[in-house]
Amino acid sequence: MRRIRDNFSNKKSEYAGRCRSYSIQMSISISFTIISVFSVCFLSIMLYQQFVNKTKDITIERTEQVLNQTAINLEDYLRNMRRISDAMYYSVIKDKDLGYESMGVEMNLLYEANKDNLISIACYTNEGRLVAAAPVANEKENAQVTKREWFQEAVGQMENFHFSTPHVQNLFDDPSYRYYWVISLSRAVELTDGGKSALGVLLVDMNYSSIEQLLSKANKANTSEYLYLMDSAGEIIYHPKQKLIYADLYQENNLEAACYDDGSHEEVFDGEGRLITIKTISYTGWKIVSVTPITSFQMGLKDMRFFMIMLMALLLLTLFVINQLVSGQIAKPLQKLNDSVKEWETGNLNLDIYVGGPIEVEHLGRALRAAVAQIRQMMQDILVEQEEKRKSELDALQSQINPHFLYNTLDSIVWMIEGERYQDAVFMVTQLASLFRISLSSGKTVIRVEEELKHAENYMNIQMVRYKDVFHVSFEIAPEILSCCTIKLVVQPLLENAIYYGVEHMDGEGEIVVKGYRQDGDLYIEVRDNGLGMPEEEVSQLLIDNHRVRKRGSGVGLINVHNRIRLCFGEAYGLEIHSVPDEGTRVRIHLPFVFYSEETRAKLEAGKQQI
Amino acid sequence: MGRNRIYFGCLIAAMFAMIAYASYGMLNRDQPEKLYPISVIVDNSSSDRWFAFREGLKQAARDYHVQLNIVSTGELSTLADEKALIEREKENGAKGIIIQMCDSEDEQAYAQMQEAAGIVDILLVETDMEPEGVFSAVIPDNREMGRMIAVSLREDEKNLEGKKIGILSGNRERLSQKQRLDGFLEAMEGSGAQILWEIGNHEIMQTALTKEQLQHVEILVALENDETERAVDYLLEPDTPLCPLYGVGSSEKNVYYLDKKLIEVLIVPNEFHMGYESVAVMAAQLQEHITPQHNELVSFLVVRPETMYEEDNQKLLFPLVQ
Repeated sequence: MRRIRDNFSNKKSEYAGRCRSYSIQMSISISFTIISVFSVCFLSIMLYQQFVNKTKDITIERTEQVLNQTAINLEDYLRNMRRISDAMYYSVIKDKDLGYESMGVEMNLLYEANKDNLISIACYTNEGRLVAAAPVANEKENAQVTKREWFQEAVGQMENFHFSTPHVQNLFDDPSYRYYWVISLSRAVELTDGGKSALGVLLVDMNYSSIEQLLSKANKANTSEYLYLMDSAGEIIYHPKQKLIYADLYQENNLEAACYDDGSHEEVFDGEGRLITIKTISYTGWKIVSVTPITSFQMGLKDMRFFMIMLMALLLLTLFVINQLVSGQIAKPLQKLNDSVKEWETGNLNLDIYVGGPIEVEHLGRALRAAVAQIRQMMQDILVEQEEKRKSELDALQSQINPHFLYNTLDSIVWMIEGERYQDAVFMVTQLASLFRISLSSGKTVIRVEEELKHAENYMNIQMVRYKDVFHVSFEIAPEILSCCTIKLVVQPLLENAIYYGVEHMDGEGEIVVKGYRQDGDLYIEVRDNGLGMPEEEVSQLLIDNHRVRKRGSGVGLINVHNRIRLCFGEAYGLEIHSVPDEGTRVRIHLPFVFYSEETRAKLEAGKQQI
Repeated sequence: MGRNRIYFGCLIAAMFAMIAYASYGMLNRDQPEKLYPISVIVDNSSSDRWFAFREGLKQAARDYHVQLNIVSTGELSTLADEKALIEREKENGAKGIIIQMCDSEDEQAYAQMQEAAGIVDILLVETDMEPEGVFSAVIPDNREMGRMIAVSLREDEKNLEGKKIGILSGNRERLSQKQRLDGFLEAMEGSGAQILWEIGNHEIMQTALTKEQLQHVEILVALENDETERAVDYLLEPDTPLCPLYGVGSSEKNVYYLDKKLIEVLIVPNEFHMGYESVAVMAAQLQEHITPQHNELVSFLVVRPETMYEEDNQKLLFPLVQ
């Protein structure tokens, strides 16, 4: 049971898997087709079977009619033969005394009156001596009639008529070489010879051809049905293929049929199903058997078969077309909806989701459309949120610079005022003012390179006042880059690092070079010093570790500058550091070569890296 | 969508095929069943010796849808006569020819038959031809028939030493007759009987069998139906000494004289079977368009006067309805 359930389950999942690989229209169409084919076939077979049964009934009825009619004809014939025998016995033999008179004339008259159906009439004594015969013929020598079956039966059961099976008459000599197949009707008779009563046998040899003609009429129809006649023991008397049976070329189921009762029986003989109808002839016990092969019921329905095939084909054709239309009607809205989803999957977020078809599909479309709109809105919100986050991050980074720088500068001015270097303090304050003006830049984040470099110059002027001739600074700027975009406050932290970590303690030998140029379509600003330099391991950590403890300076690391550039211009840009211990450090700012305009600035500040 | 269209197209095509098949069946329903024309050429075809054979032919023609034409013939004595008949039947539309060869010993017989028949199928009855097996044949075991005459003779005559036997061997150009004679002579070897003469039908026609010849024989053997009838006629002539006659035949006359005990033993080939089977084999060849050459042997009876009315024997000896 479990195995059957598992098997069913496997088949079910196999079917479901197979269905998944088809389109919905095809699945519906195949299902409808299977149902249609089964229904139409079932209907056609049932209808056809009804016709077969009806035809079978008609055939059986017709066969029984033919059988009954043949039986009536045969009984008439045999009754007639018995009458001849009766007439001969009661009207002739009983009235004659063989000692004085002959019965030849009356016998001849009776024979002549019935010679179409008779071969001969003969009367024998109990010892087998011929008393009279008609037509007059020479009795064969050694006829030995007492040994014949018909004679022995007549003497054995004197009160009855006895009908033999067909045999060749072997009583009289016919010089024309003719031999006759006869059926012998014999009976015991009482002969009077010289006033004495004696037993005798009256033989009426019926012409077998009369019975053959009678039965062959019933077999005239050119069909596979036929009638045959047999005695009660199953010995064949007449069969349409009697010669074939005698020659062993045809078999008949007569011995078994002899055991059947009257009526219809179905049997299988020689691998063929047959309907057998049997009718027993009164008095003789002979049986007429009608044989109808079961296949013959269907043979007459050949036209009906073709008609049923055509009807079935037309019906199926109509159903297939209707199936196709209905499945198309059902599947089309789903197909359109599916197409919309496929387009959505390709990344088109502004598509119009299909809404239509039956209520369910329309509802599905509407729900999907609403979901798409909602997702679209959510994505927009996420984008805005991201941009705001980016901007706030940038602002936070910049706000990290300003306090540091202010602290350092004010520290320097305080230091100057304490040292009574008022001119330098004034200069410093002037430079600081310029610095702040550029720093503020009306709240802009993106400024011209020129302004950034001016800012760097202001810063270096302040630092030069503070550090006097401890180091030397020079600017080598290609004029073509001055009108390009940069984010503000990127050079100043590099200069600050170059001073604090590079040249601060070099006693006039320190040198800082700020160089701006265009290379390979990009813009580069590098700050190079000939200070202490750094080992390679330290260089590699500069742009990665944001939590390094700084010894000195504003506290704003290179990583800060690096991240700001990348946030604004993209991952391809930022800082590149090259340092050799005891030789110096070079930090290079890599920026896109983009001319400054208000529109470009606005776009960059809005976070659009592709301009 | 593409698969759906293919699937739908296949279904529609299948339905149209069914409609076409049903239409064809309905339109061709009234066509008469095809009949295969077959001609039968046997020596002296109206002779009553062929009665059972003709019955067999007709029964098989009904059973196998054959249009049968039994060609009216007289005595066929030459190959040229038969060849002319074959060509005529072929022109008349015969698709198969069943023939009893009058000269099957001729070396040219096969080639001439083949040439005359062309594409028409040939089937031999009663006698095969040299070389054996080139045409299908439905024949009795002729050698065994000859042997059975000798066996019967040796059963009847316990001492054959010095007995003089005359043999009417029939058409010796026919292989069947040669085989019957060979069978008889083989079985008689060592019996001590003397074959006084052996004479064929052509020789009889030229020089009638003399009473002197007959007077010297003690046993007469006829190996063919007509020869048995001829022997009966000789024996019925006045002043002809009666001698036991052993013959082959199936005609009513031969059966009658068997009944009259003029013939001691009659070998009766089952000619109904031969006729039926020859048409059945030919019909199969025509219907199936194959020509497997094969020989089919039909049975024969050994009948004596005292056994001729036995149930099985009378079924074969006597025509059922006359």
